[in-house]
Amino acid sequence: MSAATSFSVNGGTVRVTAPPLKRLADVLREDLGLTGTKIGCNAGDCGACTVLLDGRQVCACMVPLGQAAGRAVTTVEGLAEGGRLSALQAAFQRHGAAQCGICTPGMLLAASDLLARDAAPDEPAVMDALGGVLCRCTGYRKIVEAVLDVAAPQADSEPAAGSAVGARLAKLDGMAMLTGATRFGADAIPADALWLRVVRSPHAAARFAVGDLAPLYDANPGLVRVLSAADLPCNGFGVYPDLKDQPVLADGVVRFRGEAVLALVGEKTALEAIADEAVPVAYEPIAAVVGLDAAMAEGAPLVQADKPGNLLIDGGLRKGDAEAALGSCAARAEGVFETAFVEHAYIEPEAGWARRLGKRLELHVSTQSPYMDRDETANILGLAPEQVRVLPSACGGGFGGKLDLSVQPLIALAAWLLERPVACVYQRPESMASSTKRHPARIRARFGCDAGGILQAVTMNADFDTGAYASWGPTVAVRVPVHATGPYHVPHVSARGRAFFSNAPPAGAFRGFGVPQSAIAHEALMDDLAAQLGLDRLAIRLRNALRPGQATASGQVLQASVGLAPCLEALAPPWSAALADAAAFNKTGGAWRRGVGIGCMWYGIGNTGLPNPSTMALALGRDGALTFYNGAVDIGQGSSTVLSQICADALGLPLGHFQLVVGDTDLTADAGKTSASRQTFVSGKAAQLAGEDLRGQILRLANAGPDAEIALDGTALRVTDGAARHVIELDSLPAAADGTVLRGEGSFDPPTTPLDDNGQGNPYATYGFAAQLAVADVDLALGVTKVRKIVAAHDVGRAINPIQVEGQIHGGIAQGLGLALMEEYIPGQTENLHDYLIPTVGDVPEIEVIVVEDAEPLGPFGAKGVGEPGLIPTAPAILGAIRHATGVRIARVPALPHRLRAAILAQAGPEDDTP
Amino acid sequence: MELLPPFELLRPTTVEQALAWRLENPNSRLLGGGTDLIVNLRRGIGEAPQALIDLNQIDEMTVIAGDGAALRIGASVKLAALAAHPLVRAHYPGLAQAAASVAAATQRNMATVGGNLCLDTRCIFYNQSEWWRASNDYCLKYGGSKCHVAPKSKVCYATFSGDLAPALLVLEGEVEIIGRGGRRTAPLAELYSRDGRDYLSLAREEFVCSVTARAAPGLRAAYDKIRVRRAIEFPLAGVAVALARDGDKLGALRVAVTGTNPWPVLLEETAALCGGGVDEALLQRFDALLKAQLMAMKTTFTSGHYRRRAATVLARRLVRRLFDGGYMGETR
Repeated sequence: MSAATSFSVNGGTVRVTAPPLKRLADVLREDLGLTGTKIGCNAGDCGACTVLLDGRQVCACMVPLGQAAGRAVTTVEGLAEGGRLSALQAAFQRHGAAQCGICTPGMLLAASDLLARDAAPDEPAVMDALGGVLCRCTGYRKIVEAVLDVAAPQADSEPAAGSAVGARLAKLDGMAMLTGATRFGADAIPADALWLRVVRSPHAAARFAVGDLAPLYDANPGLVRVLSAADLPCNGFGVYPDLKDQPVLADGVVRFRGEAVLALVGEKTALEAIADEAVPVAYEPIAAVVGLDAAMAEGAPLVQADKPGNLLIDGGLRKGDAEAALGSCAARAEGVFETAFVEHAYIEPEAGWARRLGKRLELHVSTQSPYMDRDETANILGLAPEQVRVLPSACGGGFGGKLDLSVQPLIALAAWLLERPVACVYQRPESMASSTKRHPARIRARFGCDAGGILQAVTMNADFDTGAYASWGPTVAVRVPVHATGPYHVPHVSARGRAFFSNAPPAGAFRGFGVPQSAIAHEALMDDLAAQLGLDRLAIRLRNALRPGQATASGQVLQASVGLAPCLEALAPPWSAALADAAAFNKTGGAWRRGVGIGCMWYGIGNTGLPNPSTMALALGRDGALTFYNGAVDIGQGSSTVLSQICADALGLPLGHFQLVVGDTDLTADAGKTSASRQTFVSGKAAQLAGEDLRGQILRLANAGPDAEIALDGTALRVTDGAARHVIELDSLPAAADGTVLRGEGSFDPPTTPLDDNGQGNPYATYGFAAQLAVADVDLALGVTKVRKIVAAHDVGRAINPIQVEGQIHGGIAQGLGLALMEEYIPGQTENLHDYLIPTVGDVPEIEVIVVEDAEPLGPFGAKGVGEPGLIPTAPAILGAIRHATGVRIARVPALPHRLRAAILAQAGPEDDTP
Repeated sequence: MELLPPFELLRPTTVEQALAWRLENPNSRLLGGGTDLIVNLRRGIGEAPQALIDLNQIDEMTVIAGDGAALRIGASVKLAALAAHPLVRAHYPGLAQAAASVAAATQRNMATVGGNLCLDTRCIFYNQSEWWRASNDYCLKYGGSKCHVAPKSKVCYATFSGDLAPALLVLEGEVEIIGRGGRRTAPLAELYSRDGRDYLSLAREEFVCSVTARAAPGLRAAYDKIRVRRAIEFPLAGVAVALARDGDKLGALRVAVTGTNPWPVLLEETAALCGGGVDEALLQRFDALLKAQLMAMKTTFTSGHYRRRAATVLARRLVRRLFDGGYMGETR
């Protein structure tokens, strides 16, 4: 039922023949090739597809093509003016308002709608206008700043050679994000690709049998192939070399709702026409193991038959004698704290396409870990790793959720067998049902200190629900004991981390690897101790802050870059001011009470006690091209820019010369995964070494000293060493096959040692430290919390790019706020973005970032990492503010209004139930 | 999987044409902004219609007209236009507040007054993907025989969540309905049945053409709602209050609540509260009325008891605020 519909797009008239009910978003992308309009949920919940319809912002996924007839549509591709960024786009670029870029087109159009009616809007107007577009990376603050600052003049100055590090530099890949040119996983799928649709289990636990597929093929000529477990040469994957427990396609048994059972491959429209019930899969449900209690129960059914007690891992750490020390403490605090499954909710669902080229396979996917994808896919298909090439698309948000395989092995298998390009884009509900989650935790902890408030002993028992498969469960269970004490010096520590299987989606890596959960426990108990001893909450933390030369819980003695104390000292003035403000506010009475809370954290940068290498390369071509071969995937956090800044200064050439090749496994060396806040520290160091290596080669060729200046002018490399000048003609040097004449390389593997049986060792080469305060108002009668302000002091070693550092902290804070107040993934229930709530622009408060630079000697120019640290202390600080306001210690997050109200009521007693 | 039923899109330009097409296509659905309907149809919620009749091209349905005493709002007026209309902002602030609080700008630019008044009832067991509902054996509201909220129930408790209805109910809202017999008007409260499944009391072919609000001199009205986050979320509870003072006494009181029951509740027996001052004793009687007339079913992820309580708290605060004189802006 197609008809021709005419309307205007970005000023030109188009005529589209398509069904009148086809979504405008799909028409723009599929019929008109305008892939700048993104699809995040197809339900009006996320706003990624926001366009202007007759000048007003609407979700293009909800507009039927027929309703666009005769009207004017503006997409992101229509915003630039005469090839130049519009003032709004330029403001976004200047402020670092785009991180991953997936929400950027929608944000730009929502803001354009507002600015067309109000050239100088105030902040509430901006918040209202952007309220329908979700962003998971930025914490919104830089977007709001950009819209408010749209009238400011554009400044296009590029830092000179040697001054890139520390500069507030716009992202190198930012322009493409602002014009819609960036290609994400679903944006560059070949027209001749077959599509793949996954058939998923509706049951959390079941045996199943696949029936006769012949009728399905007969009824659907466009269905080319149905893939099942039997088609897989090796049907197991997992992030650990010895733990490949998750099947690509379930083999007779499903262990979580949403697990992949079959893959249908064929023409897109044919796949869409197949009803779920037409696929012959007969399920025989079995009792599901739901939640930690069920998983840990004596005689519980086994989720995986060969994992007794449903136990995945039991990790621990012991230093001194914590029990004995606790016994002699002047003050003791204890508690049990629980957290929920948390969904990554990246706005870009899993997407990609694959093709076979002879004996090789190409994967174009949205990923955080191209080399792991390569090796895992090769293993599953029975190929050599070199036969697989991963070319990462832009990644529309990851946060740990795109470290695990999703579409990769399925499209790879289909493309390999069918010798056709095969694409797959997850729908939002299937993404949420099948992707990994943050581990739900139950943490029992005890903290003890002497009469002066000095910590003596800590015990912690952290149990995690790891879902049906291992994923990163062992990483979480091992990392948490190391971080159990918080960033404090504690002589006696006993900590245990266990992970149990259940019939839920696999819990995996999510920004912080379990540390955000345990930080809720240790910070609540620090507040308890302060209250018992009548100490200021900041003061007790400062008194116990880990200092250089002190040993951590794992016995590691850090000699440098231990910046918690300076963070707390920087936080002290705003802390005092906030406390005074809250006291004054609360004197005025009314329904709201204001509270101030504080949270501290430390976070080991990189893998825990495991090798962690990265290699970077920098090549000069005979044509004068300077190419930075960077295997670290930029998932929005800005590593492409930050690593280039480091490399440029190490080399001594301006950043403007740099051309980037990112993440292509054929062209770049393995930089490891983009996780654990490791890329700036580890790959940054490798980038520094690569730049220095190339510089050294150039200086040797020129016979110049170490302080010589280098300039690149076409194919001439000019070296100036005092009065001596030397020109290297690049096109006269012998060239490799790819035209490279000089190539620098750098590798770095931070010095760590494995943890011994008592959890002792040097698991990380360096740690980030932070202290944050939160001011929150609580409506006592309604249990509603409104966070008013966050001040975040972070020791990052060195801020290579302060805009990106702030962006990471803002984004982490927004996710921490979600963890504290609203995010709770319930398997089988909150599988969409209207029941699973993430913060909107209006939920994120004013954020003040205080950057502390306690240089890390091992790091590039002193830098460490900052990807995770913003999230970790946020929930503790907010919960501390709620407690300060209400007296209630929240033991289970999220502190949803009904939960907080119930807790307030339980504390006050039922007689206080007056509104 | 997403569904794409091949329906026809009809775009009438008069109510007569719309009615004629409606009569010709008994299995049609009416399209306002589509912010709920399109999403639901793609999820396979509701019978797949043969045709969608788009009501946005009918001029008389896109007009706001009136004065400070009475206002006629076409059913196809966009929520953004309603919220921004000078007459509405000046004389019907509660209505402007309600319209401005719906979802987010992305929705308000499409969503219509009629669509919000006729918004399908919602439930966590209903507003889900086809795959999701199939795996739960569907539910009483659509496709199944069991209510997952109240397993023994014969009626559906899916909750009405529109924001405009309470704001209009307290302004003596009347709907103008087009049907076989031409035009008729009815009190807005009568638009709703008491069952979450067949939640509107319209005949098959009927549709709402406009809604009228009245603002008696001295009437003070406001709307407030509670939700977990600041945008793109249906109200956990929303309350509209309109009251008039008679000197130191409460002269008139109308209260309506959304987000608790399968219909927007126009609170009954509020007249009995009038004639005295607003003190704690009166507010306790007010609480009791609310508690008796509001439901507390778990149709959202927030407990029903909490939502009923939240409505009670908001209602009390609005009454105090309006009685004491302030009636613009947030009450919290």
